[in-house]
Amino acid sequence: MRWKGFIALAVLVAAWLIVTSLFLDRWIESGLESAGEAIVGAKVEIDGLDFRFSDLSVQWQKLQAADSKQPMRNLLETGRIAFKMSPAALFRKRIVIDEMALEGVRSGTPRTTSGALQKKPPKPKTGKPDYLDKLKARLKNEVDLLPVMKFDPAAFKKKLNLDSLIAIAAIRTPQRIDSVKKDAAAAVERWDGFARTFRPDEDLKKIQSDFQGLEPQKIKTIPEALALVEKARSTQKSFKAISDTFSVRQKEIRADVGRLASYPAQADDWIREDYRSVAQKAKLPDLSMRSIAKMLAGGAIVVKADQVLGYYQTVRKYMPRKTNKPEKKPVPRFKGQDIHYTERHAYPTFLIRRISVSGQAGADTTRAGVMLKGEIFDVTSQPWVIGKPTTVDLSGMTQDLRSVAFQAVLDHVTEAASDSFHVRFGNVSLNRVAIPASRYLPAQIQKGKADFNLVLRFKEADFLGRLDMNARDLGFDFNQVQSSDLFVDIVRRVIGQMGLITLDVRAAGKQDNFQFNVNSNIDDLVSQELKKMGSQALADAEARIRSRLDQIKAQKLAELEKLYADKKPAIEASIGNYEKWISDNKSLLDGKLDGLLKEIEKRKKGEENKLKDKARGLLDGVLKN
Amino acid sequence: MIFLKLLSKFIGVLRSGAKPNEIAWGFALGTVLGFTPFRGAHTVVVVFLLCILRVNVSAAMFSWLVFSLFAFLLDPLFHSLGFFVLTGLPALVPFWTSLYNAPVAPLTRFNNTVLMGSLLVSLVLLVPNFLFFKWFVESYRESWNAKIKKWKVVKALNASSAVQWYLKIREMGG
Repeated sequence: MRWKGFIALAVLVAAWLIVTSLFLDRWIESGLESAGEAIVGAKVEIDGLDFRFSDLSVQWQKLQAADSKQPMRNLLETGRIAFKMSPAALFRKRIVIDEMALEGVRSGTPRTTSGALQKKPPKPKTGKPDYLDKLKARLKNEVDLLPVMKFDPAAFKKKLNLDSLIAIAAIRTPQRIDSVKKDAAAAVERWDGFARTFRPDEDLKKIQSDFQGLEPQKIKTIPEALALVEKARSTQKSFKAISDTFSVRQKEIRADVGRLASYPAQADDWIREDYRSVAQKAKLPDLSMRSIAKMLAGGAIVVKADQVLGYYQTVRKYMPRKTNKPEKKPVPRFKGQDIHYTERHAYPTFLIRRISVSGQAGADTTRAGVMLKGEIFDVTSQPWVIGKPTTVDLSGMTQDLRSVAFQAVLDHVTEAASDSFHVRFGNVSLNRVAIPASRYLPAQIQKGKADFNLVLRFKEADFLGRLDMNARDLGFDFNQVQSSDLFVDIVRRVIGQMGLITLDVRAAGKQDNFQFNVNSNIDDLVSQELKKMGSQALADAEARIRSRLDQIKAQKLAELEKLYADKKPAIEASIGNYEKWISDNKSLLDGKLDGLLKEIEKRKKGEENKLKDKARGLLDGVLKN
Repeated sequence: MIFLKLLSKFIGVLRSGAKPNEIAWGFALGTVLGFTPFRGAHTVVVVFLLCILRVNVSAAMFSWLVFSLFAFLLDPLFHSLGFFVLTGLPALVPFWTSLYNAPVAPLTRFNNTVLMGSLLVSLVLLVPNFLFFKWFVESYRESWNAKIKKWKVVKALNASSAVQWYLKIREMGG
C-alpha cells in the first residue's frame, strides 16, 4: 500500500469534483447545444442552464433553435423550462424525464445574430440510400421529367425550320418518287423498244393483199378451192402471230401506263407518312395535356416534401425501429459501437413521458401567431422498450378564425414501424405570401385565404401522402416577373382570373412502384385557354409542314410526269391504231375465210347434185333398156 | 519532448534500483490503459491501483503512451472481438442484459465493442505482460545495459547536440 499515492489520488478526485461542480452546467449546456445543432442543422443556444445534483433537476431560462433555411429567424424559441431526471434511470446511464412543460413556445421569431453554423465539409453519406432517399429522388425526378411548356407562336414558327426538320426526319417521299422515276424511264425505254422493233406494216400489207385476193366466186375447180383455203389459213396464221405479239406488248404497255398513273395517288399516302414523321420531330405540343397543375405546383411541392421527408429522416434516425439482433457497423477508431440489451419495462436510453406544449406559432411583426396548445407523449429513442408509440396532438386557433392542428403517431414498437402525420391549416391568410420562383407562377399572392389538409403515412417501405388545398378570394401579383412566352402568359392570365383554386396532390409508393399526381381546376382552365389561343398557331405550323411536303411531292411528280408525258400519247395512239387495224382486219379475214369455206361447201354440194343427176340418168337408161 | 522525457525516465527506471516486479507491474497496468479507451470505469480502477500499489508509475506512463499507438492499429480487431463477445455468444446475452439493466454497470461502458474487446485482450495479456517485462528488466540489467552503452548509435546520440541540449535543459529544470 502506498499512502502517498493514495493521498495524491484523493487530491486528484477532489480536484475533479471541484472542477466538475464549477463547470458541469456549462458542459451540459454545451453538450445539449451540440446535440441540438446536429439535429436542427443550425445554431441552438441555451441560456442560464442550471443542473442540481441533489434532485437531478435541470432548468434553463431560454432556448433558441435557429432555422437552417432562414438563419435570421428561430425555428423554435422557448421560455423557462424545468424538468427532473429519474435517478434510477440515470444510475443506469439512461435519461428519463417524466414530465416537461414547454411554455412560451414560439416559432418564427427574429434573431439578432445569424443562426447559420460554420460550414463544415459535407460528410459523404455511408451505406446505401434508404427508402426515404429514394422517395425524395423519385419525387424530384417526377417533376424534372415534366416537359417545359413553352408556347410562343412567333418563336414557334421561327424555330420550325422546315429544311432542317425535313433533313432530320429523313422523309422518304423524294426517294420513293425517284424510284418511281426509274420505273417510268424503264417503261419509256420499253415503249421506245416496242416502237423500234414492232414493225408489222409490210407483213400486214401482204396479209391484206393476200386475203383481198381470196375471191370464192373466181374458184372454178375443187383443187383451186383447196389451194385457196390453204392460202387463207396461212394468211390467218401469219395474222395471228402478229396479233399475239401485239397483244402481249400491248398488255405490258397498258400495265406500265396504269402503274405510272397510280403513282400520284400513292404519293399522297407517302406524304401523310412523312408528315407524321416531321411532326414527331418538330414535337408539336399536345394541347390536351393534363399535367399543368403538376408543372405549376410540382416544384414547390417537391421542395416542401423534401424538407418534410428530411425532418422525418431525422426522426427515424433518433427513433429507429426495433431490431432483433444488433448489426455490426463500421465505426470511427476508438469510438466502438454500443450494444443495447433492452427488455420490456426497463428504462430506454432516452425518454420523456409527457411534454405539455403551449405557445405561439407563426407570429410575425404584423400579426399575432396561432395560440398553440397540446401534448406529446412518450418521446423515446427505444419505443419497443416502453411498448408505446410516440403520440403528438397539438392544436391552436386565432381570433380571426385561423386554425391549425397537428396529430402524429410514430409507432416503432415492433419491427414493422409505421408512422402517420395529419396536419390541418384552416383559414390561412395568403396575403402577400411569396411563391417559390417559377416561370409560370406569380411572384406573390396579394390576397386570399386557404385551407390545407395534409396526411402522410409510412409503413416500412410503403408511403402514402395526400394534400388537399382550397384557396379562395385570390389576387395575384405577376408584375415582378416578365416573360415573352405566350404559354406563361396564358397560365398567368388564367390563374390571375381564378377566384378559387383547388389542388389535390397524391403520392403513393410501394417498394419501387411510385405514383405522383397533382390535380387542380387550373388544368381544365389553362388547357381550354391554351387550346383556344394555340390552335391557330398550331394549325399554321401543321399547314406549313403539309405545304412543304406537298410542294416536294408536286415537284417530284412533275419530274415524273415529264419523263413519260411526251411518249405516252404517241404510244397510246400507236397501240390504238394497231389495235383497230388488227381488230378490223381480223373480222375481214375471218369473213373472207368463212365465205371461202362456204363457197367450197356450196360447190361441193353442186358437184354432188350433178353427180347424182348424172347417176340417175344412167340408171334410168339402164332400166328402160 | 514528453516522449523523450518518458524515454529518459524509462531508461532511468531500468537502471535504477527499483524492483523488477514493480517495474513489470507498471508496464503491465500501463498496457491496459494504453489498449483500452480512456472513458470507462476500468481507467478509474487502474489509476487507483497505480496510485495505491507499489508499482512503477513512470513505466506505466511510458507503457500507456506506447501501447496507445498499438491500440490505434488494433482498433478494428478490438471492435470485432468486442462485437462477438457482446452479441455472438448466446449464453452470455442474458448476463449482459441483466448487467445492462442493473444500476451503475452501464456507466462502465462494458457494452461498447472497442472497450470490451480491448479490455479482454489487455486482461488476458496482463500476467504474460508482467512476466515478459520482468524478464526484460532483469535481462537488461544483467547483460544488455553494458552492451547497449557500447553501441555506436547510442554513443553518437549521447554526443549529439540535441541530446546535450536536452540534458542541459533538464538539469536547469532541476
